[in-house]
Amino acid sequence: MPDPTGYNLTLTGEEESMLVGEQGEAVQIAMRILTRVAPLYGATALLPVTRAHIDDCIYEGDAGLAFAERLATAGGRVRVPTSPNVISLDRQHWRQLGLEASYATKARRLGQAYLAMGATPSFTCAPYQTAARPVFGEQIAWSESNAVAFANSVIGARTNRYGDYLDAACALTGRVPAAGLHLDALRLATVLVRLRDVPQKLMADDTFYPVLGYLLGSLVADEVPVIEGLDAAPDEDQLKSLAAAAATSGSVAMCHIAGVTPEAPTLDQALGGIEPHRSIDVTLADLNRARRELSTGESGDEVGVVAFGSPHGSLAECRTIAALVSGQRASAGVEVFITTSKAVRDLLDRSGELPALEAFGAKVTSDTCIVVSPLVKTTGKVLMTNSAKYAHYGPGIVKNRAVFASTESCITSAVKGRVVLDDAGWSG
Amino acid sequence: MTPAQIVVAGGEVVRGIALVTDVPLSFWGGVDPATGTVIDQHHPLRGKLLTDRILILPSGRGSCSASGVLLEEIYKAVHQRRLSPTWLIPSSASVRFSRTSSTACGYQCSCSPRRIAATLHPAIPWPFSRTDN
Repeated sequence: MPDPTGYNLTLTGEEESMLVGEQGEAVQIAMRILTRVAPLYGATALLPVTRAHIDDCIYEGDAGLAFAERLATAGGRVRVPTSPNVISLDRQHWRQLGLEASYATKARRLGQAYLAMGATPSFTCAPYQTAARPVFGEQIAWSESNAVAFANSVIGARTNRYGDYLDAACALTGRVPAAGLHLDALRLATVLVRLRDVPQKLMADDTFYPVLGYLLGSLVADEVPVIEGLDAAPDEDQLKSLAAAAATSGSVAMCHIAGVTPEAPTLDQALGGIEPHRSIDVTLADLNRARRELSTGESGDEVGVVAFGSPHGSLAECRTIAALVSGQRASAGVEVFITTSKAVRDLLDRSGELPALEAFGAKVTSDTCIVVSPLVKTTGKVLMTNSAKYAHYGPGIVKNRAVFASTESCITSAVKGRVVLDDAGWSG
Repeated sequence: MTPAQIVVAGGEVVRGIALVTDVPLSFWGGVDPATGTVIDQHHPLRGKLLTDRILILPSGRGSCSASGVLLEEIYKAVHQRRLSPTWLIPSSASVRFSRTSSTACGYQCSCSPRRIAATLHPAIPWPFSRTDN
């Protein structure tokens, strides 16, 4: 068959039909984007996927809105089950949260455009903790850096980091470039990261995983690492915080942990029996350096905001917070945010834990988060969080200094109104 | 200030002031789309203005929304005749930002901002129509 794209890309009859416009203008636009990007991945063909997660619903400005509404008006329909990422407003509570009506209108219109194209109204950055979760080996087209890293690493589903607009093109066509992490060979680890002299007790601590991830991302950029020497059985929320942090300081799309993640039952299997390009030793001192880099404020600073839920809090994480805050109340000068999905918020409401969190003074938001929606005012006071991702992006986006700390320290600090740290586990 | 001269696909020569960094940059969350300023407080270029600069960097990092921020810049350039940054050059001289990530800019417009997308992905013509300029 002659190459209809001009880019050495072999298309099936169905794909060519999309490209020439037989399946509508929106599909044609999507296929044009996809066929022009695919060769840059080194692909010579496309690959069908069974679900998509798209990031384009975060309101950045008029261009993204124009793109979405153009596709929706052109009759765009997602071809596979598609979950949208967070949007830039909490659809139920945006007024109470102080959003301007003009901003809220545009943020809502953007989300609506993707719903009109058939996306499910789940609006979360942790789709892997919802019904949209893929299975091992499933070929998917996911966006949102933390979700990509989680899907590949923890579940063993297969996706590249699909950026804005390319992800929508994949959703509308049900295709991805047949390249990168969709293929067996490129999922093998190329960098060996050895944990050396890291106390086993620290490996059981929730703060260990985001710090390890943050260091990992800065060390390996976009390569596929395998971590050796993790003497613990991390739960999914801990792995979630590792993946999110590695995809913040680097562009890690996949990370093996020998003996923990599904494609790394052994170190040798993660490496595919091939020598790694390089090996890096990570010590407690390295981890402590990364931990300190995450904080731009310090102990004793006045706290303005305490934020949990990046990535979106799971039911288990929100329940842990609810139990910890029981009987306490945040200081009057401190705003507490717990950002999660509507699904989790509804479950908390039914279980009676939502009122308990609200009694503490927490605002439990759904659909959105503090770095995609203007929920946090610039006050000069510290933003405190248990999330490496919030701690990294917070100072730039909400213009407040940030302090990364354990969930317990964040709660104590919220009550005292000052940063109170408990670093005992980090002293080795 | 580092003067730079870039020869892009097609032979066109561009001269300008280069901003050079060996640390990857996340455009989303790292660059303020309203001003073109680097806001990533953990990045060596923090506080620098990218407008009308040739940005030379090893790769992107972090968010998948780099293309979202760049598209807003393109859109504003069309509507407000402002462009930021003018050129993005991966220092690896690779056409890709990284092995497993890519961006796609797609919006019908008719002037120089096309250069951003063309520089990010020299092999990509405009997606909406082969004859769009």
